[in-house]
Amino acid sequence: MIEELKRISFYWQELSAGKSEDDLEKIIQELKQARETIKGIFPFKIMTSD
Amino acid sequence: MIRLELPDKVPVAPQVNEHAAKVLGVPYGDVFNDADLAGKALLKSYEVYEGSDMAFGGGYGFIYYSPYPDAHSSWFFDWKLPAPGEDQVPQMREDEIISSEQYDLLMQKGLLYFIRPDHPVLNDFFGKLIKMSQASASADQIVKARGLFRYALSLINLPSDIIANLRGLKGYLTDFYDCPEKLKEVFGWLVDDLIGIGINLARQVEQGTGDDSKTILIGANRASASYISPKMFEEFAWPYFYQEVMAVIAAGFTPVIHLDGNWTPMAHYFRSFPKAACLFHLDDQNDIFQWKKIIGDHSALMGNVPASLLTFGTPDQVEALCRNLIEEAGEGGGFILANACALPYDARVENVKAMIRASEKYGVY
Repeated sequence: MIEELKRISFYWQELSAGKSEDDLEKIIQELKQARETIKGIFPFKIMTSD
Repeated sequence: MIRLELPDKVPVAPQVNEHAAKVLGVPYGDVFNDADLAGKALLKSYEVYEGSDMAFGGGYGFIYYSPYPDAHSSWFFDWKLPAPGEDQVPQMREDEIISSEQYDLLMQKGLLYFIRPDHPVLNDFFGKLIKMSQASASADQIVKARGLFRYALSLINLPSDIIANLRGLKGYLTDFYDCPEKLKEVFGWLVDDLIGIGINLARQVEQGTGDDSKTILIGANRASASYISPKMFEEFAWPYFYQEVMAVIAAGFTPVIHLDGNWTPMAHYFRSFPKAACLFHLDDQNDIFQWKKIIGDHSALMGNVPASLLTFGTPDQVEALCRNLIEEAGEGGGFILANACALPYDARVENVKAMIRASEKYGVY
């Protein structure tokens, strides 16, 4: 899960510090959802290469 | 006016945003966090400052919750935002977010990789947007009835400003010497999409609101002579600046070029833009009288009553400066009397009234 977080966030260390697997899963899901929505609003390469 | 035709009088444009809270007599944090109160502050501002020619913002803080790639976004930058009851404006805590070795990472991953751990909630942003739209409905009718012009429908930053905020001021400045080619590469990577995002948003706002102001703000600060030399500007900023302005014009919008810092040594570059196509809003570090000589026959100017005078000066002092601005910068038209940069939230109401009064007293052509 850490690898997945590393793939999507510069702040993966802060986000994962002291977090349980369940917490991490929730953080990743929320972050992915936010990224998808923002990418939908601003579909440009400077926002994400995904 | 922007087309350099002579108007009846010098337009006056105090930019009432955060200052709306002062007009209403409440701490800024209250308005920042409450759309209904911001709507009331807007209405009160239109009542108190009748005679202004530009539409106001209400000071509601939704822009700080927006994921738009801009310095005001707390999705990407560290902002201390005012709580209810707190009479403070938002303050960015600028620090080095990425190192110069991480430019490749930025270009590989994109800005969304740098969403902060304490980022806002997206649904809250959409909620705030809707609330503000509803709360400002009455004020919007005043805008239409009075024929007021809106400052900008969207904004486009210079690439150098985005990078300066990501690198921190020290890192940004040393990169000009340590990795100049990488800096150009990342500026080039940013510029097309900054243009695309800004123009797309302006079109969406136009469609959503029916606003026909046709203005897009191009915001620039960190490539000014307050930070870098004109020679560095020519190499590192001018090509992207030119590209942004020409793209905005080609898309059918008027660039409102908001210049923070001192750009007077660079003013002559801007004669390369088409004549009577841009509005330059000048910070008080600019010598507007020099600007008038350099470019006044070519482009319209807006400014530049200093924030310090509006907050700490007297109405007589404000009126005297405005008279000088009107008589010199306003000679022959192409001039909007306005605050430099932004109207301070704690400007004295009597001083803002003095600006409007001066335009009526001395500004009739």
